Amino acid sequence: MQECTADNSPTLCGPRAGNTTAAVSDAGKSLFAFDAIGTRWEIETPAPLPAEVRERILDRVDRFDAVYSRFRPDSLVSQIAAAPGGGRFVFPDDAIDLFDLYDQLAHLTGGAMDPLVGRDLELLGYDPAYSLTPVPHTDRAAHADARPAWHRDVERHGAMLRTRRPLVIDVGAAGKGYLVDLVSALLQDAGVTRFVVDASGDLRHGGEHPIRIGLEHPTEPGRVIGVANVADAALCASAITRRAWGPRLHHVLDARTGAPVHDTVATWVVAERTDVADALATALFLTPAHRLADSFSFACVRMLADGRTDTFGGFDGTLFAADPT
Amino acid sequence: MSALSRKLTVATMMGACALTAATGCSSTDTESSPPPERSSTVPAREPGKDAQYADGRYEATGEYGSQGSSIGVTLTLNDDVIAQVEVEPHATDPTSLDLQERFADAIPDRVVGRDIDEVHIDRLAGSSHTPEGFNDALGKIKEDAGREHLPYRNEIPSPAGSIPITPR
Repeated sequence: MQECTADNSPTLCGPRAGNTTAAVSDAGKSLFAFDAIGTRWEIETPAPLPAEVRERILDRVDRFDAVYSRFRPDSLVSQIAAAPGGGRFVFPDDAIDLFDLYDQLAHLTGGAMDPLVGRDLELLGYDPAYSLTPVPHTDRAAHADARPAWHRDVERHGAMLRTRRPLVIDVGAAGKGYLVDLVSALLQDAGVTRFVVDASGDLRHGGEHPIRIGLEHPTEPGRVIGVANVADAALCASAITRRAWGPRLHHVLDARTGAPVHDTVATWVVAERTDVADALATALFLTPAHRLADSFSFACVRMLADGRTDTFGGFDGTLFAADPT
Repeated sequence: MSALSRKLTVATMMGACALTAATGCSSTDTESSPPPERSSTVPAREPGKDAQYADGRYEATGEYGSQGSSIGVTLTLNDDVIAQVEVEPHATDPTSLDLQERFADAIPDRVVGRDIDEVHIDRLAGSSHTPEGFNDALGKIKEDAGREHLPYRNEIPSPAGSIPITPR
């Protein structure tokens, strides 16, 4: 039995956010860029951010990484994964919203979306060592026999999780969007109302004047299939061509089977909250849009495996239709 | 009840899926209409001379394709003949394409990519960004294995393998 909190986890190996730059774009916007949680971040504001705000942002993303990264051995989720008999693990209070969102989506997708999908990702090769090599089928079958489920194997009281065996929590479906919201809140607290927080394609815009966001073609780099107009809202993208490491090996799994999904190739979701947009961008690979629409307000674009594309929820933007043949 | 060790072939399975997709269309009707009939009769596999399976309902979750999309199947056996097959499409099976499309706002259409330079945009949302560690590892594996088809390029899963059935 272990007892851990986010605050007494082992000393961090130093800040992970790095390669920090502050610059002015061609359009006269101030850009604050850094690498964090394994991806490039850009924060665009009308005026340069004060140093103390930049520090607060870097500190916030580092703390997020220290709790949720399954790629670093000292994180809270790595401790949960390593606890032989489970334990009682206390997350930061703001984890409650994230877990609530996962509760909701696990329910709406009939269990297809589940943060405990982490172990299946590892078995397919998306592990902390980035082996990118699936384990033998027999090992996957053994896991399938005892595949855990979030609602059954994790007892949650607010921000406290109780487990009874090692469980690999992966918040990849909503975590980045969630962190974009936390960073956006820091900007708003600092009085910055016009901004773009762009975590490599999962982004939040603040302000009245819409921006045009290109929907990148999932298999043709450098090309876009359309443009979304977004104002004071979030847009998140997901694609099975991203984080893919072999034929039919990629990061969007059906948590009930542990197998990668194939029907949909890419999704884009516009919603008020970035964590919701991020989570729904994954959920749309697993469940029809109408099933999510009773619980969430959103618009989306999907590209299907055969190249066809559709929209839902009153998508504001343009798709570049192919000439009829 | 003896174990049903015989394999149900994927060909049978795909037939069942197609029928389910066709009859499932009625699910968009008004609530007063009867629930869609999701069962269908399919040609049975030729029973062996030594009929060995107890009559009744058998249930399985099947995986198809080498990476395994899954589907729930309930079989009713009479005298070793499959009398009825009920398929519960999970979200990853091909049927869900049709199921999902019916609820979309827009009729699905093909789109073409346009060069980013031709389209004025402020930001880009899509697939070009992957975690650095991931890309490094992927590059290394490609090097080691000399594989040419990484990363995954929108390959349509091909049915392969068979589905083990276990008694309920």
